[in-house]
Amino acid sequence: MAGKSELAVEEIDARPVRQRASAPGWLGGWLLSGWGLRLLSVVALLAAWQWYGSRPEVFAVAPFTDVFRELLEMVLSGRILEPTIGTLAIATQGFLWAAVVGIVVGFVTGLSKLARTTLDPLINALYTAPVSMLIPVIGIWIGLNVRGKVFLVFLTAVFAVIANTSAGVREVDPNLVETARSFGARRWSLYRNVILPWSAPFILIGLRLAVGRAIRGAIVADILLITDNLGRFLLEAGSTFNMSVLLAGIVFTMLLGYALMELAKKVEQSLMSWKPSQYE
Amino acid sequence: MSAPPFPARGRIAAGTRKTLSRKWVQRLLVWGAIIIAWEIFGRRVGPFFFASFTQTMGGLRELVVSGDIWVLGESIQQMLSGYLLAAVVGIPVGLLMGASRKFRHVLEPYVNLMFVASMEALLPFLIILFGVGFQFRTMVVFLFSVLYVVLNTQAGVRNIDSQLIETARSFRAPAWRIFKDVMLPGTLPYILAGLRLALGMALQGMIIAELWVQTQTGALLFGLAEFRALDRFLALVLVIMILGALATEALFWVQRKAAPWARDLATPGR
Repeated sequence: MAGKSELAVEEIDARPVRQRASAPGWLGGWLLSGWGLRLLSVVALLAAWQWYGSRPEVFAVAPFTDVFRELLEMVLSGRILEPTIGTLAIATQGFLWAAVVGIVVGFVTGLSKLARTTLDPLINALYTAPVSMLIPVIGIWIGLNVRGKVFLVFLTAVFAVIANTSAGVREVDPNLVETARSFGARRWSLYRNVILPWSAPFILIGLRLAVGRAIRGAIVADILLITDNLGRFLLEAGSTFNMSVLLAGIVFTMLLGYALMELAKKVEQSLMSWKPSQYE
Repeated sequence: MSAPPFPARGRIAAGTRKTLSRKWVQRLLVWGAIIIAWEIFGRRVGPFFFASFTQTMGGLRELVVSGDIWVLGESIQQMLSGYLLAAVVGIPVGLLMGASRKFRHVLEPYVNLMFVASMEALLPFLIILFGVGFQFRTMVVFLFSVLYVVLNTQAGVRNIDSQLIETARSFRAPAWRIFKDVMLPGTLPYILAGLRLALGMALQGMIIAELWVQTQTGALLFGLAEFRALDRFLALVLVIMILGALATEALFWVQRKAAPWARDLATPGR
């Protein structure tokens, strides 16, 4: 405990000096500074992976070079393209439904005080609930097909949109609404010109979270509901113990999710470039 | 997020009591209406596709009488082991990442990548590594929840006002006291928020892992759906939902009690 605390305090204390300290004077200094350390850690990690994966008695982990070759091969040959499009199509449909329904429902529950007191606990409960527990009945309710998957994605993503939209509507400065009213703004004009733009940052946060949830929901659907697309790609590699293909598929899927989240973040930032300074 | 001006303490109590009772009257009315709508919908659609509220309550009684509900208890026990592991690993890592630039620089890319990437893709690999037993389920729960603890703890450390630490140092406070009296209280609400968010994720990990290897609650859910015992199925789903909501609410309460000075936190979420 004591050792950790000393380290922590020393580092916090060094904060103001950071700008001065970050200029690398010599190679060793650079290697121990931020990016050098980062690079070193990646190299060390990959080397450890390579060493561990190449040991003859280890079968569950393929060496890094094999996985990397496999990853290049599946991307360059286009073998991964079709499953990716399949999974993304499901994620996109579910996301669009979640966006439309979520914004409308969130707007209504945000505006109404009654809805806020009565529906908020339910929405929060649904937001934290593990939606995947409905997987066994989706076949009964919707069908074991693409529509069932889209429904699962929708359920996974929609509550993030609802919760953030209604939070955004509530964050609108009441003084602004007062002012708009006193200048004669009618209901729809108030919604469109005051409440919607002011809650937009929150809605966009909800939509960004929904992008991540939609992709994850689509992958769960492709693994657990009906095996297809990227889910089938992974499960087939796993069931034949083709570890380099399996690991390459996992790396690809995770990078795909990462890339889409980064894209969503960029879109959010560019849409919000006009935003008022208090949202910084 | 502007805080309303504080009225005198007594007036708060009287005022909130009134609005509290009105709030609950409204809730009872609206929730009652939802339950009635559920009842009508369930009866119209028929037990082959859905279950009405009364049927679901009957299903709940059956689950309790037959003892099937205790499977959920076992699942939750196992989930808690993964969740505790996430707390035990996540809090120190988060503290280190928040306090030390070097740690943060090294770990940040991995943590961020894992946080937004689809952890579900790892399932086929985890099952080969750990089999279908206790280890597998614990690992899934751990991986689903640990990053929330790490990121929130880190955010907490980084949000501490550096002037507070400067002040403490200028009064020659020893390092352990700065840690205990400045850093820990400042970070605590964030740690608790992280633990709260992580609990929801742990529950998701538990359900997904058990559905996949078809044991315990996962097997029960599949079995009930297969036999079209939708009354019991919906009762089980309802119980899981309510338990999750209550646990989250309880952690919220702890957060408010343990750190009443922290009002609203901007917490990393997914």
